[in-house]
Amino acid sequence: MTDKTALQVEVEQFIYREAAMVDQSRWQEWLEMYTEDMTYWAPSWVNENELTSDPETEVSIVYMNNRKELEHRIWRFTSGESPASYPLPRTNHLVSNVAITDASGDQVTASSNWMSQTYRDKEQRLFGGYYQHILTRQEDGAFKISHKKVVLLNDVVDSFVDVYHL
Amino acid sequence: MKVETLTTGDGGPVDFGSFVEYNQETKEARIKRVALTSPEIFDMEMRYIFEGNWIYLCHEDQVPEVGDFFTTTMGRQPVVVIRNKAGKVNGFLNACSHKGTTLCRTQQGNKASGFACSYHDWCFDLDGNLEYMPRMDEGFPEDKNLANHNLTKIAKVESHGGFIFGSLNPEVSSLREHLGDITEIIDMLNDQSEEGFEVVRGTNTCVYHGNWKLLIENGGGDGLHLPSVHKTLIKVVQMRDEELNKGKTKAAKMVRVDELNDKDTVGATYAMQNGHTLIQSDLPNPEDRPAYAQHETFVERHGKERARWMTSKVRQVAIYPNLFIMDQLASLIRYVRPISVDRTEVSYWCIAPKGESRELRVKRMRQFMDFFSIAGLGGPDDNHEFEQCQVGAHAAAAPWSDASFGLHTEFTGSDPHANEVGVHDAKFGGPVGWEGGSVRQYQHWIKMMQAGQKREMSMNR
Repeated sequence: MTDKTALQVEVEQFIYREAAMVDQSRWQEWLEMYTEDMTYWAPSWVNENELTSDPETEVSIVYMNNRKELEHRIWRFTSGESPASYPLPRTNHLVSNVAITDASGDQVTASSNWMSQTYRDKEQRLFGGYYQHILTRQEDGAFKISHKKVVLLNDVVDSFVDVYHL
Repeated sequence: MKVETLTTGDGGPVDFGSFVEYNQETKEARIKRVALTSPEIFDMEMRYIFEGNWIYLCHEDQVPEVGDFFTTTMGRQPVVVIRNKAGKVNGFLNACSHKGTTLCRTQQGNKASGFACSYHDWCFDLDGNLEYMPRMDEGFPEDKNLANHNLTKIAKVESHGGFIFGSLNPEVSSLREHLGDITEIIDMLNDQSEEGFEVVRGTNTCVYHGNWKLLIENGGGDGLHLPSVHKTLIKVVQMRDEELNKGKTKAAKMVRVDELNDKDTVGATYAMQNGHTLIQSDLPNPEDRPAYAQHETFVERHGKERARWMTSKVRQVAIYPNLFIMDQLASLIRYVRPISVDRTEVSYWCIAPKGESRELRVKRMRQFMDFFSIAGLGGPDDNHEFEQCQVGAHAAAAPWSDASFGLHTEFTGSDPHANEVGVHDAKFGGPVGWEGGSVRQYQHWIKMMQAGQKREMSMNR
């Protein structure tokens, strides 16, 4: 196996594992896949074909620039006290088309496509779009997510979305 | 309750007056839930309210240049709002006069050179006049009077402070009269910037599975749901605050919703004319909102009281039937578009002073997305409750919703706090939590439904 193939496999396995942590409700393990200074950004659509480009000054669906915020969010939707997230839906994330777009130093940037099937209240909902992950190699050699961008194809959603749908 | 019981049984009128019962002696009020579930009533609402009176269309900043357009609906009718060559905002049914094909097919765009229908190439100028069609001389040799084929205008289009409203019915009052002293609240927003307000790029839109009145009632005066529905938001505010103090997050400070309705804060809900409502309440930590940076300037320009309302109070107006202008946990437009009796589209647009510093804009955007995004920490919980109300409204053996909380505290006439800032038509009010706002909203609904039904019956006679 070439170095390139090994990296491809490692990145794919990492991204699949992230999806599995969400689908298996292993929230603490999911959280720990992110660096403390991570950013998580799901931009909004400006029009039929254009997304917002600045999470700080334009509208997003989700923007977090610290892992603490993801931790608060996980607390919120697992607490049982947020009506929107009780009961939590069953989710199934499919990720494919993983491509490494940049690899330099301790960082790898990868793009992928995703689709999630969710089920709750006798209703099935489908979401889809694409991801960009920036993975940063840690001292112990493992990757962590330092940036994740989630593009959701919809600009109008049924009811609401949360990070477990995306 | 079956839908049939709404009518006299022979196709006669619906007794809308029976939909609200307000017992002045016991101070109890209740509202018939079938108003949320009857498709017949929804059809009538579309005709009498959304297609028969003033409704909000869009913001001037969404059509800033000549030819800029914005598509939406009025009731069930597709419309397009467009700025003409003279800079005036026009509105038309978004349907070609030939075959009814839509002319503008994106949410926003520009048609500076006019509308050209892609089906048969009929072309219209920005005032809706038919200018050209292929083979015109062959097709209409005797009739050169193109004016017969112009686009159909929205009968009335007017704006106040950047907010554009329209009515398909020409027999309505002026917009100024329709809004009443709500204009003061709009002005308190716009006075925060000499350059005016802009709509920040990016939309958040969702469709909840419930009736449109659930939202207009919730945001129009339900001051009771905050500690229950939003208890996780309150907890996140507290966690965020603690982490911020320890330097563990870079997120913006949120409005301390946990302290919003403490006993010693001043706040009230008012029922205004024409079904509009206003909630005002002291912000626990106004210094963490972007507008506060200009507090001293506002004091000089507008006086102490008005400046306090501009920077240090929640100001939330529900402009009946489809617009919220909110300057509270964030500054935004919340636009309500009924789709069917149990589907309602809600769009959130963040609004901000033009030319705002990056630092303040960053803070503003975080505060907006924390609550109002379709993935926010607040909006999704509200939507879920509306959906559950919609399910429960079918429990026809219990046909009434209660709206009695705090009715004994209701004041009438006018309120000194509101008078301070020129709001004199708040004829009924109560402390935050008073459910009279819902009652007055529904009483206005009854008035409109009765008037619409009467008008329609006289036309059919």
